Amino acid sequence: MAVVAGRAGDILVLDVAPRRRRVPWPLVLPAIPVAIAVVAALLAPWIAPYSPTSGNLAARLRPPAWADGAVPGRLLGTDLLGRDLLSRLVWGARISLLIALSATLIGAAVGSLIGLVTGYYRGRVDRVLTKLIDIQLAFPFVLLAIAVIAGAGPSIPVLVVVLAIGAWVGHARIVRGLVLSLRERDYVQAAHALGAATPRILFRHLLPEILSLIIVLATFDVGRIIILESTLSFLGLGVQPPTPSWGSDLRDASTYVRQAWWTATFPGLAIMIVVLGLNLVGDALRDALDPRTVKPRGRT
Amino acid sequence: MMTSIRWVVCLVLVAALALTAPPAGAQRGAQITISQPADATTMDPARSTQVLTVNYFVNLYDTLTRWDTALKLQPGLATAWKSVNDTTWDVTLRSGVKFHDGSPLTAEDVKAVYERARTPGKSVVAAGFATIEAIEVTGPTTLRIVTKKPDPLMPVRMAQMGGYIYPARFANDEGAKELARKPIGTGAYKFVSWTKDDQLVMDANRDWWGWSGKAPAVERIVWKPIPDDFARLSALQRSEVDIITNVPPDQMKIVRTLTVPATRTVTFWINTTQPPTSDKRVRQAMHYAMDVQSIVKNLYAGQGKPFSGGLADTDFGYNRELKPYAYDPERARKLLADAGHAGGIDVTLYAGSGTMVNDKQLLETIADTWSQVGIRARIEMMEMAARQKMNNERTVPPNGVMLINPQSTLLDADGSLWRLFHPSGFGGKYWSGNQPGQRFHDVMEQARYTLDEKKRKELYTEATRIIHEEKPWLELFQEVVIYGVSKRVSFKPRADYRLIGSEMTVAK
Repeated sequence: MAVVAGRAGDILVLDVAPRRRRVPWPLVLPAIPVAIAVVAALLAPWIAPYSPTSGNLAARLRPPAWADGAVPGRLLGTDLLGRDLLSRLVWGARISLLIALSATLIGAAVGSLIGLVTGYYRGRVDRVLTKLIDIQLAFPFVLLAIAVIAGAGPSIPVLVVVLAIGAWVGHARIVRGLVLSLRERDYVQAAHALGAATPRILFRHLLPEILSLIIVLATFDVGRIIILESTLSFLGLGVQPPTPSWGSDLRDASTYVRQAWWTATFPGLAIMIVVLGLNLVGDALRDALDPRTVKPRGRT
Repeated sequence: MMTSIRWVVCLVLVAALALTAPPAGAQRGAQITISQPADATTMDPARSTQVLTVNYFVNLYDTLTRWDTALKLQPGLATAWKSVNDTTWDVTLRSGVKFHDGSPLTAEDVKAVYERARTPGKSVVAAGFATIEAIEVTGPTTLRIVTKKPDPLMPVRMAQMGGYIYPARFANDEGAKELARKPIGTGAYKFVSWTKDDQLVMDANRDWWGWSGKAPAVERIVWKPIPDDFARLSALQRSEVDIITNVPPDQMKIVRTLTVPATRTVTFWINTTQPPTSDKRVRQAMHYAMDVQSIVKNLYAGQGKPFSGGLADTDFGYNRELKPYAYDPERARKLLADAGHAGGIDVTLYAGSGTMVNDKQLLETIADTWSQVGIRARIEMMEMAARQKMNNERTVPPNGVMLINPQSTLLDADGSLWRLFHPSGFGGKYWSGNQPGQRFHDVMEQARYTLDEKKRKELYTEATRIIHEEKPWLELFQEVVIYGVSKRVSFKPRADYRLIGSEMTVAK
């Protein structure tokens, strides 16, 4: 039996067999390491084999279990202070993801809202807010971070806010640009003509149109923020020791790469895999959500 | 065919290069290159006491007295000094000494330099000259220094930072600006050129009084700052530089090093103004709960000497009887319980990021071992400028513990312990034992004005015992100066961090 399947903006497609639910591999595969990191973050106290903050100085810089000189039970070896590297990675996931995800969420929400409003209203509001954006773009981020953290004192909430401040501008700019062109579209004009209130136009008509882009942008931001956090930690502005975070652990280990490659390699790999995973998820999401990039799959 | 022609061309080029390159080390007198992590900030000796910058001063300028490599006080531009009475010193200058511009050194120059040095606001070294009441020129090469109170350290002060002599015409605001860019002194090396953050060149001053007939072994010193530790180490490995400073202890194996215990200690302020750290038993417990031996061995490659009593062994007043507290968690727990804190205490550890090698790891290790006896330490790594502000304004919060690594300025307890714990010193607000009426205060003040060396020694022995018992700060270890040095250069490393070209020899 033939089923007629149709999609907006797509030509009619005739499928011979009933449409099976396909596994969206491009989305699922990269999501696996991200999911593992999230699970590690959530279950850190139960998963981590040792304490992440307590170590034995005499057993510092010991290699992973498969190399000579390893300490039994320390699967990925020990760090500069003789702490279990695996446990630090597991706990580090908690801090790194918590900070990166919340900073991204706040940055994306605030940035998108401002982008929507300025793009839609244009005029004076737009001028003022774009100037604000320009001012911030012209301001070195690290200097801004130093100023804010010097005033508020280093803590994780402050760090999240600072990183969000670094993230919102990108969202605001791109969303504003999109909205500027979208607001001239017929359906927006129609909604306006039918007397729809502005919030309704913004959130029911414009937002869904650009949501896919915001999500993609946000997934890229998460990776960027993990790295940014490590920079701030290095300056003494970020996560305070002994709290583990991937970024700060990578920084600390970087001077020991010659003697103990594993100390830098594993946090680096963790960051790389999660950031890559998130970026691929972002790509896949864009393909799945954006009606303009429908795959030609199934067409004959 | 083509490849073989290329080969021939290559060979010819290589041969030509090899022939035209001057054979290494053939120049008369040798040139050496020294690489520190930062460039000098100024050439004006009244405007910096920063150890890296002072290394430039010490080659360009002379002081009236100076420390030799064994840190014994020797004549410099002054050939004689004697105390006429408790507060008056007569100083005789070396005759026939000329500045690099050819003008002769006179007592007027010394007076002008000292007057500027002791004026707060005109110099950053005023504290070191604060005991001076007046300077009188009594002849072309003689002068008289009158101190406010008896000052046994006057001859030592003449060797300290800020005592570098330059011509009197630079001892004013306008002149100092010129001096800061084009220094003129009497030193063993004269200034040639300076490209900021790139290189500074100085050549041997053949007329220097200190060569005593010998030709300078080092004809030219090139200073090339390289901030990154790894880049500096590899520059030495590639023989691009001859001497590097600030070698991280755990990288010592990869280069040839010269080491010497430094005049610098690794300590932490403790703001003891409020409980629980106001109780000395708590502070003793903090020491017993710290495994300094293991820290030195593992974090600093064994380069450090645990100490107690407040003084490095290079300081006058050092008390060798005092043994550092051993790692004894049981005893720490008991002391805490005795003080009424069986449930543990809370403190905060502060450090500027970049204060010293492995600073963050040091704090983490201390916090970790402390946690085993119930001392819960929160760590706050600070941006360096914020840390400087906290230290300069003396705003370490109550029960805050902040990493410092102070250097002794006079090689005497007065230039370290009393400089730091004096009520007006950097640590003056954190401990009540330094207040007038307290034994420690009275002993240190008395020693400051006692001319009799034996008596001073006794007073310092008592003061160090008080520090050993009271532990008003956290005492870890005496640092070690580590230089990376190429095979062709040799010199005796100095505990006071000075790199002095005239003390170096170069293999031909």
